[in-house]
Amino acid sequence: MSKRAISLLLFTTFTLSAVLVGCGNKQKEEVKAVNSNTNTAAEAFKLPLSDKPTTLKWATTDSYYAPASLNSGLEVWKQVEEKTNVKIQWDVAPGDQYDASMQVKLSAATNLADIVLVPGGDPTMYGQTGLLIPMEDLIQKYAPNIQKVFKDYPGSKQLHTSADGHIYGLSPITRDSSALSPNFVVRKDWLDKLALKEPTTLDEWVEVLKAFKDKDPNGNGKKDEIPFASRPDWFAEAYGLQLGSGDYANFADVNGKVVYQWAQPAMLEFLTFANKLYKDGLLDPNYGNPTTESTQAKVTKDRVGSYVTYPDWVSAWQKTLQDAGSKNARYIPILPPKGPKGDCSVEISGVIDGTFTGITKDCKDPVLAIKMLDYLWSEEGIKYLAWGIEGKTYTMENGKPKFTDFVNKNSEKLGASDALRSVGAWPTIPWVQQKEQYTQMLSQIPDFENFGELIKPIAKEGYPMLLASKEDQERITALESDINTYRKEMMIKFVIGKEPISKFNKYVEDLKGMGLDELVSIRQKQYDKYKSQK
Amino acid sequence: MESNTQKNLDIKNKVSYKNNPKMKKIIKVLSRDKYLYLLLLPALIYYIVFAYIPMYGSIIAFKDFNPMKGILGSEWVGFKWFLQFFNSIYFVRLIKNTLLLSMYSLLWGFPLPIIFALMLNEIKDGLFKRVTQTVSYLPHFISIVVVVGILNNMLDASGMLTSFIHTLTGKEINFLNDPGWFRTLYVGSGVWQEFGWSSIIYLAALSGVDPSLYEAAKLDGASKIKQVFYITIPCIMPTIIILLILNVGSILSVGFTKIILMYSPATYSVSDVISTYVYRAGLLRAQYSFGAAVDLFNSVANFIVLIVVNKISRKVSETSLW
Repeated sequence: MSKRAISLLLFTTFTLSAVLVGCGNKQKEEVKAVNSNTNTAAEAFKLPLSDKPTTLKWATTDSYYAPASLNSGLEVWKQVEEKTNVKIQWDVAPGDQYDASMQVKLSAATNLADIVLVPGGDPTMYGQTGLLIPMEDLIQKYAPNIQKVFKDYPGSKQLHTSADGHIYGLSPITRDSSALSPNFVVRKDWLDKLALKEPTTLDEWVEVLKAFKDKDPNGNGKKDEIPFASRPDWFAEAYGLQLGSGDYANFADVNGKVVYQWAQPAMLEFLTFANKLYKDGLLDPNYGNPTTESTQAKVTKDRVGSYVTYPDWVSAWQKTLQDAGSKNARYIPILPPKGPKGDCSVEISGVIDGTFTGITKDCKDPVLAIKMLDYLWSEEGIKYLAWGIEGKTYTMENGKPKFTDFVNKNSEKLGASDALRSVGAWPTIPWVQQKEQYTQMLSQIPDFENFGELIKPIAKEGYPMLLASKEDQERITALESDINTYRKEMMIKFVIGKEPISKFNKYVEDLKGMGLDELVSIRQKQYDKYKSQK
Repeated sequence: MESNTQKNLDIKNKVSYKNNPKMKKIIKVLSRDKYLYLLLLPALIYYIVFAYIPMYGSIIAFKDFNPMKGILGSEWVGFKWFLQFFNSIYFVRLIKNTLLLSMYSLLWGFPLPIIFALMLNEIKDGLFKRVTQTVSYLPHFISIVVVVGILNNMLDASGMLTSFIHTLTGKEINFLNDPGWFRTLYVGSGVWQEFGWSSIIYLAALSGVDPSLYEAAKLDGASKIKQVFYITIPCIMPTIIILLILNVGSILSVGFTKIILMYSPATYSVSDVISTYVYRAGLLRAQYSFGAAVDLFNSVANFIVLIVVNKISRKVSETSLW
């Protein structure tokens, strides 16, 4: 009896593994078949994309407006599905959990969704191991709209192309989003109350922040004001550094030479300043891990003097604050402070935002997948993703879309971007952001109408995200995982004073010991190649 | 009686199966206790499926794992990933942090349930005892996410405890970003959550102590304290030692979830442990083989510690796992 049980168990195990191995082989053959199939003539764009109802599985991060999950049948996607005759089966996870869960799925390499958002940025490694299929031929043959976008936004195709010449993913086009980049805002009513003028230099900023802390501008008798509620990194631009985008902000171009920003001499000056801010109690003591929710809570509780945020959130949060009783509360945008050497800049996004969505080897119909991606970049697709639903979120006036009050003055006090997300627009997938949307949104926010023009002279594009070859990528990953860990740790320690600023040189030495020079030289090689192609 | 039947069986076996006595004996035992083994089967299958079969995946620690080629098809690279880990500047720190966190947890978390159980044991059965017991078990059932949430709420800059200390002393302590506080918070909350639950096993052991021993001690004039030291503790000593060995055996594997929830770059210097490093470097950055190598190293080290402690214990106290 028991002997039989054991042999039965062994038998099942062997059959199972045999079946699994068998499956693996079959999938590889399918991919090959698909690749050889793509050598047909270019097809014109037509709807519906599929004659019979088909389903595509799409894995990505869920909408940043959590109550409107992509899974909940949002209007935009219902209409897209109707038009294309393709049903999209979403496989979504919240933004902060997506990377870990997707990495596990990718490592198993079976049953992948047809279309996936690549975790961690660079899709090259997954492309070269064969998890993602090269898309350039498919784009050539089936995606006239994507080709058009590549042409309309110079440089975008190059940034999509990996070092091996293949395109493994599409990234949102963010060239025109610069007006809505995060900006410094400050409580105008507090400034007036304390008879201060808008700060322009770092010294004036310190003065204003100190006044916010000491003079009880919210008038509740308690010193509970948080003078500056964002990461101090935003002040680094006054020292000629661009740290706004965190991990992506590692590198910069100084006269054609790639440098690691966090080890620059300017960093030392910035840290000295930031440490002083912290010591004087002008920063949020918990600035290390701010979440949107915690910042929102502090702002709407009448405690925050200034912070860095997206323009469309300012008005929404300000409204909540006013409704809660602080009727005069008013945040105005303000240009970033001028540094000791006159540096003053606002970091704006590049042509693409550097998150890639690719087609996997498990996709049974890559042609349909590329057609879907292509449709979303067509004029009609752009309308859905940028403007939402006609009659609800926008109306057509003189042949041009115009946002309605659902977006401009949302009754649930959602910011414009969240209002659009609530119907399925403004998505987490590749889409082409429109300049006109931003202009209209800004024009609706008091104090922000001319802000786009105001920051134009000082707008500065960040270092481009360049795609590495697989070998370089492996070195970069190995080097960066130690270097970034150490850097993050030391940055916080320097600012909160756990480590004296005088140790900065030792910190740079330590980074070098971890292979910083090698990392920079890999990036330099990449950058030179990018420059020469431009 | 049990051993008698065993002997009889052995003799029978020797007589009837001269060629392969061992094998035959196993079959004999299996068929005699088949229903007991049947009961064992689900647990056995569980371990085979979820612990032993996945173990073959560990070989990717010696390979350059490529998801497309699969575990068996990927190329061998020898000890490349192990060397990368040993040469990493974090190697010493990770081991140190892991060991220190476990040792502090053991130092505070191990004796406390024993003391608590001894104390409970001295209380007469009644409402008070039952309420105390239940209340002490409750935290065990709170999910770690919630426990860390409570900690964060109480200890962040505007948190209850921070404000309280601020009004009392005028000092603003940055509990969550101060490396000096991390271990205290980690160990403290862990002990708070588990000491009641861990005491159950000792209470069970205590109830097995023969009451006649106490009566005899009382007749000899032993005080309550003396009874605890000369009867109670020696009686539950085997339980204590077995649990100690098991705990020490997992000294290099600290609770990964809780640290992930609690740590931040500001406290990496004390909070970054082997498992969190594997999560960041291996999983988030998709260096599967490197992650596997680090984890395999961790498991092997754990296994060695377990064997060594067991050996020592067998020599010193005659109690051991095997």
